[in-house]
Amino acid sequence: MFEIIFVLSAPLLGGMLQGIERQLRARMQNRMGPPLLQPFYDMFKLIEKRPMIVDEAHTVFAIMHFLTLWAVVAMLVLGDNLLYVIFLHLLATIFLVIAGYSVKSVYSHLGANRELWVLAVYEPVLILFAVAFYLLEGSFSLQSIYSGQAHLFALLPLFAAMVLVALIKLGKSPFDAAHAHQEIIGGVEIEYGGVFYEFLYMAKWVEYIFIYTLFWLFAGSNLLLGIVLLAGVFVLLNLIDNATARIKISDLLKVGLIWGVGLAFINIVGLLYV
Amino acid sequence: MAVLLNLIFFLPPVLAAAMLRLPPERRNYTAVAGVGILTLFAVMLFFLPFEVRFAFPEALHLLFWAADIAVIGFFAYAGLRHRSMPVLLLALAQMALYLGVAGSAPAEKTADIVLNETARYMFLIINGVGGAIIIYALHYIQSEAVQQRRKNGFIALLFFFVGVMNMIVAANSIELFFLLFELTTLCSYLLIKFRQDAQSVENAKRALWMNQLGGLAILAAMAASLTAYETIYFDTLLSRANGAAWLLPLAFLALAAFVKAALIPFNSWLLGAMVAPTPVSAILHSATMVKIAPFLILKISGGFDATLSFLVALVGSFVFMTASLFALSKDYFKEVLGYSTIGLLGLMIALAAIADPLAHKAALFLICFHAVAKGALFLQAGILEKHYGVKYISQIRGLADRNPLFVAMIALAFGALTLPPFGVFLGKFMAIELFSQQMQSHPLFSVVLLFSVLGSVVLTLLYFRLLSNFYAKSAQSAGEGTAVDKRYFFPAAGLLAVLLAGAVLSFGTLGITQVLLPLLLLGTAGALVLLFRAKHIDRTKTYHCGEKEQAVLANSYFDFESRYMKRAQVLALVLMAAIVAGGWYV
Repeated sequence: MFEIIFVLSAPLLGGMLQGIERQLRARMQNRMGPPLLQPFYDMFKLIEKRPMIVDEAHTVFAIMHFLTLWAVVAMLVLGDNLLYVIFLHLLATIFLVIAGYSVKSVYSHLGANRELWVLAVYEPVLILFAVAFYLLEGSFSLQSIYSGQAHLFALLPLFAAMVLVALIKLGKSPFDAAHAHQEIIGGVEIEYGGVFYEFLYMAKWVEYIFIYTLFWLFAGSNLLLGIVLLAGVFVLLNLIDNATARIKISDLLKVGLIWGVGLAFINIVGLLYV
Repeated sequence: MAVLLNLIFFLPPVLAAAMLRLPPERRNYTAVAGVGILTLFAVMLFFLPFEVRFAFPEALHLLFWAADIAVIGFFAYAGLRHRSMPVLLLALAQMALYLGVAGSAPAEKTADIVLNETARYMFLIINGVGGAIIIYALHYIQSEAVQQRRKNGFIALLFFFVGVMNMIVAANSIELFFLLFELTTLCSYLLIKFRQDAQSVENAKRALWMNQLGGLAILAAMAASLTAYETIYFDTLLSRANGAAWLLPLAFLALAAFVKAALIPFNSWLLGAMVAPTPVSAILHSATMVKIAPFLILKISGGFDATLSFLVALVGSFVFMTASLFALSKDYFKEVLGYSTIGLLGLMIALAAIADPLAHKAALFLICFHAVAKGALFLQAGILEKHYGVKYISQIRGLADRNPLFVAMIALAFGALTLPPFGVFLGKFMAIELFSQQMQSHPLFSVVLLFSVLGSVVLTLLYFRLLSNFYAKSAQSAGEGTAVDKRYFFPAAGLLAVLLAGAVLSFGTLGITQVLLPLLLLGTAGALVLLFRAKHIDRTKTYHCGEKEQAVLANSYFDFESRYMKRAQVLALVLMAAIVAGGWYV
């Protein structure tokens, strides 16, 4: 029951999370920061604006991106197959990429291209993440991961790789080249406006929930460890975001492939010998 | 039932003969009817509840022997005529080895033909997908600037090819397998040479000698099998092997499969085949020729020991990753498809090398659905060339404006190669689980897993990066705004429909939600794109930061091929040599 409520309210929770995040980052910079509910105030503003679209297909793909991500979170939280969830997440990303390509806009295309390049970095890590749990639990079943023991200490290198993935996926410095606002003015987001932009916004909220739920898996059934872990990751990601400057997309690919995939792979080989 | 079985072997050659004689109109009707009957036979045989085994009469064996001599003789002649030393030398070597081996075959005879489950799947692919390609070729070939007689010959050759393929998947005798293997080499040689210009002849020669190498490996396997195990039958050889040791005959057969699959370093023959008319690429990549490779590995992997199984999987997965990377540096649409075929064949071989029922099932899934998807994609590549006059990805720009339905079909075919719940996705999904499983008993399999993961991600990147070109600006090509000819459209659309319907097959492996959810999402997206018309919402132009110059969109290219090809070839060759050398010493 709790899971179903959690899934249904995933976009709301993600919005709340973003509100807290903006406060936290502001405090780190000695600012007051916007009110906690600012993401929702933004939402109402966007809904009230006069809707404008480039064309229908472009709009549809953004909505599908959001819906698919929501479905991904549902499958993840309700305890499906971890590997399958990761591939379904790929479908959501592909919707976003096609959305980016489906309009004749230079920045939108640049964004979609970059979205694909970073996919080449984080997707292998996510798959290896699933494989690591397969080796420890004997299956990809999320049910057994949720009810099993905490594997954080057996998976420390992988945990570091997942921090890297989280920075990329949530668009945090130094790995935010895929939707860098100052460089490619938001990439795929650029051609959306009004209520339709809100769908991309909410998709981002759901992405938060997706990534943090993946971190939750490290703690297994250990509730306390899970809470501490999530809080720690939350602070860590924002600390890194605040303390670093963006690196170029080509460097992102190199760092990601060497450190992200490298650490994940070493961890898996290590599991085989321990 | 034996009648039906014989018909599926012998109807295609009969149809081939008919193609040569009939006038174009009646030729087309006969071909379509023939394809229909063959597909029907394949479906009927698919539901056959028992295994069929039988031997051909002695007279037919004599005929096979004569055919072998004739084919090898023809290769020698081709080598002389086109002054190709490798072709000639390999033909002579084959002749010497064949005469030696065929003379010393034991009197003990078992079944020549065994129809098992794998063969039944292959029948469906060969006749269904091959048939769709033949129907497409009927119209396509008419636009080639050659005599009618040669056009008919082209169609006849395609039917003959299908017949040979039908028999090769059921062959139980290595000797018969060798003949059919050589016949597929012959067919591909003649098809690649079809346009008869210098480039075509050059590439056909290369395809010929490389595949002759495969033939030679089969003869070596036969010789090794005769000396050590006194049999030339697959089933007897496997029952005597039983996974106990690293068998030399199996190592040689694996080598033949590597050549046939055009795995790096033999990749150049399949990529060179692009010079031929598009239906040739379509049929080589999907229903015939290269599919012999994973099929052969499936057939013999029961006899692999753990090390051999690992090495073959390593070669396969290594090629999967490198070929996918090399595809990123290509601009010629068919070449991109070609590299992705080589890569996926590597993955199929890696899966087939694991002696496990689930791995066999996954490999079969990949073989079947890759055949359908690649067949459809090549037919679409043909439409691009014939209808739009476009060969290179960089020329495709803007096609989405002129024919959104056609672009959506290509997108769907790419989607079917990567996304849940379609067959190729399912194959990859199972591959990751199977390699993870193997890792636990054989830690080195972690390398196979890593290669496979990276390869499949790179392929996803490749397909969708390619897709971006359809939406980019500045298209300058012919065929503006006209509908694609129905005779091109229907075979391609038909294959695509099969691909989508194939999602049903994932029900056994995936749960109901796992199959229905992505279908629902994709279906909703498709329906909304087609139906959603926002009349009351204002339109806006795209944002260019105030720039007046309209930028032309382009892809980024990564030139992995020229930088790493040599190294990849050497590494793959060393691994293959290790497989054979290991068979020799162990």
